[in-house]
Amino acid sequence: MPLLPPALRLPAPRSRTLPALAAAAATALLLTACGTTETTAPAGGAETGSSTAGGAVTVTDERGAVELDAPAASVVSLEWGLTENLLSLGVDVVGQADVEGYNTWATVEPLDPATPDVGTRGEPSLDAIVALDPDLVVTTTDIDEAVIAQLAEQVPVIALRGSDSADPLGYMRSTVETLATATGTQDAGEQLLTDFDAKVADGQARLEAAGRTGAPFVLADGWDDAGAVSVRLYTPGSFVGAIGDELGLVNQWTEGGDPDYGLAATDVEGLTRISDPATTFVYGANDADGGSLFTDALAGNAVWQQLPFVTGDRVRRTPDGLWPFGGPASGSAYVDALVTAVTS
Amino acid sequence: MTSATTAARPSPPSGRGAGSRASLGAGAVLAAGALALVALSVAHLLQGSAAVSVAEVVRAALTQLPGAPGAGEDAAREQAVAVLLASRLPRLAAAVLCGVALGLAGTLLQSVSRNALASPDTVAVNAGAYVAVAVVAVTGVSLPFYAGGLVAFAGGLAAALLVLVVARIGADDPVRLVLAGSAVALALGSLTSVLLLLFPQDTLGLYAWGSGSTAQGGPDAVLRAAPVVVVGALAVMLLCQRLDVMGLGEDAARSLGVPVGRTRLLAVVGAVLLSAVAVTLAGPIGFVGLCAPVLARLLARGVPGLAPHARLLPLAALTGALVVVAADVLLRLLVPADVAANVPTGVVTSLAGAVLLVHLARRLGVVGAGGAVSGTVGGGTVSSSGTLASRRRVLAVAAVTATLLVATALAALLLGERVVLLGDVANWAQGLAGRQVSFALDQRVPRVGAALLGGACLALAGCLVQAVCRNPLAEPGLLGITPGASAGAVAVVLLVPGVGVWPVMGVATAVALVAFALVLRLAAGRAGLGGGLPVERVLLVGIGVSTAAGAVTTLVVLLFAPWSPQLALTWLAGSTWGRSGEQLLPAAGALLVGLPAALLAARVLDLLSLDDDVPRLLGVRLGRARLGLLALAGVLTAAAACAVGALGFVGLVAPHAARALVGGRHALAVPVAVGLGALLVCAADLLGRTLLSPTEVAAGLVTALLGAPYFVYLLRRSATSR
Repeated sequence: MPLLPPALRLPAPRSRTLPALAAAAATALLLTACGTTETTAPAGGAETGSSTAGGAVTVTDERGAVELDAPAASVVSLEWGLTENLLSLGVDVVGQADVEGYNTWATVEPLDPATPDVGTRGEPSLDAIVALDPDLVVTTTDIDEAVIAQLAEQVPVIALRGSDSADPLGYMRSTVETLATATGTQDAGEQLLTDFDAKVADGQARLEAAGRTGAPFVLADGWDDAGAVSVRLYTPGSFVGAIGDELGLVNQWTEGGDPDYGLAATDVEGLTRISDPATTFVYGANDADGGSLFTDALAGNAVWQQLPFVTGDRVRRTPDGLWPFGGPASGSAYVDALVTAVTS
Repeated sequence: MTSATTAARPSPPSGRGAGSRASLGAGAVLAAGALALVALSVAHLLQGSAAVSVAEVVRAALTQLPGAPGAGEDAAREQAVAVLLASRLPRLAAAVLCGVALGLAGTLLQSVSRNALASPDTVAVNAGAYVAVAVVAVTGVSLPFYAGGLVAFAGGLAAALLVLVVARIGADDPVRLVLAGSAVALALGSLTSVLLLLFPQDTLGLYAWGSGSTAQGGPDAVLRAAPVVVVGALAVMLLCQRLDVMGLGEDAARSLGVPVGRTRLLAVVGAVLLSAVAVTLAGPIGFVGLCAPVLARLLARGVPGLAPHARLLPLAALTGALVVVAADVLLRLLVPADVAANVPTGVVTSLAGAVLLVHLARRLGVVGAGGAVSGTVGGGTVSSSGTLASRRRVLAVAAVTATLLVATALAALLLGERVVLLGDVANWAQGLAGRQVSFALDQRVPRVGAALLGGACLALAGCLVQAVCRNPLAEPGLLGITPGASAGAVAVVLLVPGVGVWPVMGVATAVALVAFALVLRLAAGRAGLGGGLPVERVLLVGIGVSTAAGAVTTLVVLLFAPWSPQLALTWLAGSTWGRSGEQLLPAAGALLVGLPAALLAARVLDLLSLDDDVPRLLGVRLGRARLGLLALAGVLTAAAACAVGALGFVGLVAPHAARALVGGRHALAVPVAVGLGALLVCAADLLGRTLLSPTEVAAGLVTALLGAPYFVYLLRRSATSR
């Protein structure tokens, strides 16, 4: 038999193994994806057995009225100040955004490090929040409205402002009252506010006894921007600035605060506008952040060295872990810190 | 020149006179520039957040002069002196040094690449330096000034060489270099963002590097940087003669004995060194390396004595210093001093640079860097290797793409913090699911839908843009649409607290389309929109408008919400986080209209991607077709921005991959590209959500990280295939 000419040689049989393997793998994957994860029979709306003590609760937040079937027992918090308030009220916080950060920067009311983390404060993972099955989610209005609306369809969400520079302490009180009503801890809330008022009165008395009522001060923190230092000042519209006002101290930096948090920004040069030589410069820092910016990075800065409070040795550091956007717990700690700084 | 050559040509009528007049002219210009710099510097020194009056500053300066009467014991005066010496002089010195370094670097890059658009920004030097510094910071090592500068230099050099090699330095295609550079810069920037996200404690203080600010904490950094800049400047002056000869063209230079390759390498290394010093000193101040050389060359065209590099380089250095100091002065005039302390100088220079880039682009063909900027797009054909794909192959590709798409979409639905299975999905669809499952799917389904629709729209827009622009490196995000949408959305979200979804989307789309219309209007020039749209002008004007929109966004965020930028970041990041069903409607509508339209116009697209004449011969109205297709691409991109925010690379990579798989015919390539785009973004979103959960990496970062190596491979391949 003559050999077939090359052009008519039959092509080699096409390999069928690769497509077959792929099809088999795909089928296997598809089979594993079948089924359901819910062990109970899906009924219309699962309940968590919360129809116990206390009936329906309605609170008002920045978005309107929020209705709860019962006072919330397990709460997920998406901002540190609200977490601190909840822990002060004795509520169970079952999930928190950035747990590690909270335990570094806001340590007055410590949180169990094993608390599930639901992501960053700016972009919490909605999946993680859902997986914890909470009764209530509390957040600030810094999160996108559309996201809050999404959450609110399934879980009651209370959205409050971080602070209000028109009346920071009044807003703190209304925050505590709202959270207390929502969680059925009104007694604890009243006690908390009463304790805070007593603490402020005690601070005023201590200042008067030391003859330092009306002493000038500023409160600041800052960070190192690759060589240049940015300073953030707390005006009287800020939470801590308002505490200083209540104590009878005179804040030397009153302009430029933003409408929410009452914070103003400047650089080291701008601090020369503080003219009263008796001013106490109180600053916050954290060792986890690289320690004290104002004494380390600025030590060699000639402008800093000329400032009246530096030459007069009136620079004081507050204890680590006080959260300047918190509630009565941090507020009481700040009363102590300010009184100590001004009288020492 | 020998006497033979001078005899061959008629000597100019007034030989020596013209030469000395030219020198006088050059000298006059340089002197005038120096005077302007001194005047601006004085203004710069008088601005600042300290409450020190002009009289006090002047008095303090005078007392520092030797032989002046001794300073009084006045504390206010001492403080004025301290302010002057410790805060403002270093700031001024940093501005001048950065301007000088960036001006010189830009001129060198433009001269050796013979491309009026080359600059440290467009060849990704700044992005390379930034990522190198971030990588080192992540390892926990803190570097002193010179070591940090060295790391920045190494990173910048690697990035610049990558861009210059793949963009074929010296070729007559300026647009290619800019596109390659912006793509590499985008990829490296995304890598840096991921590092900053994952290691926030180690990389504290690097956020400001993204901006570029001349503020200094003291004279130390400036005193360390000054010798490097001076030495670098003197060293590059040694290359003057060679650069002059290279301006005649590569072949002419070789025949005159100039070692072209080595000169190029030395010039690039010098440029990167100067940029690295500037970046280490003050962060990346954008566009100065583009503005200063262009302004210098414009002046040199008017004054002939300035053309040789021996005078052009000092002029460019002077112009650079002027630009940076002027930007600082302008910023502090417009914005209160306290706020200005936090606004980076880079914002103002970017705005100015964007305007200049648009102006340059409109005069394309007139301004040159020793070589004419070509008037046609030299990007080559859009199709791939040219083989026609067989029907079997096309069907196989389509089947595999469809299967992968379905599989990825299902995986994205099922996977997450709360894993669900198909039965749960079925229950949810019937409304019978339990609370956890229904909640998980309620917020996951819009996200998956946003990823799919956004990816599809962007890929389709990319196909259209690449066909119309006849440049495989074009991307819909470069037309100014996505940054315009981001600017609009951020402005609304920050200025009107608590605003709903529809107003934000409406404003974003409106601003995006206005930006796009502006790009088209500026690119068309006096000829009007119907008279054939010069495509490389569209791209360059688009880049300029994009940069301006980005600078405006940064400015808005810094002025109105410096303490809570999260709202803005969600839009800028290219993320599906928090998407609701309503935000998908524009993208769904655009795709429903756009895909059939593109398929109907497939033949026109095929013809447009060949050249300018064939379509005309075959009766296609070139101007109208281009305008219509670009408008469709604009609407698709704006709709995609509503769905996924500012997502890059998909419109670049998906059409390419489709053409590589099924060939260049748009009737086949467009559907495959749409499928691949949806697949890519869905996979990126899935990876970003699940890899590091609960921390989420935005889908835009993942697409940039995945798309960049592929893009570099594409560039290499298209560079070697010619």
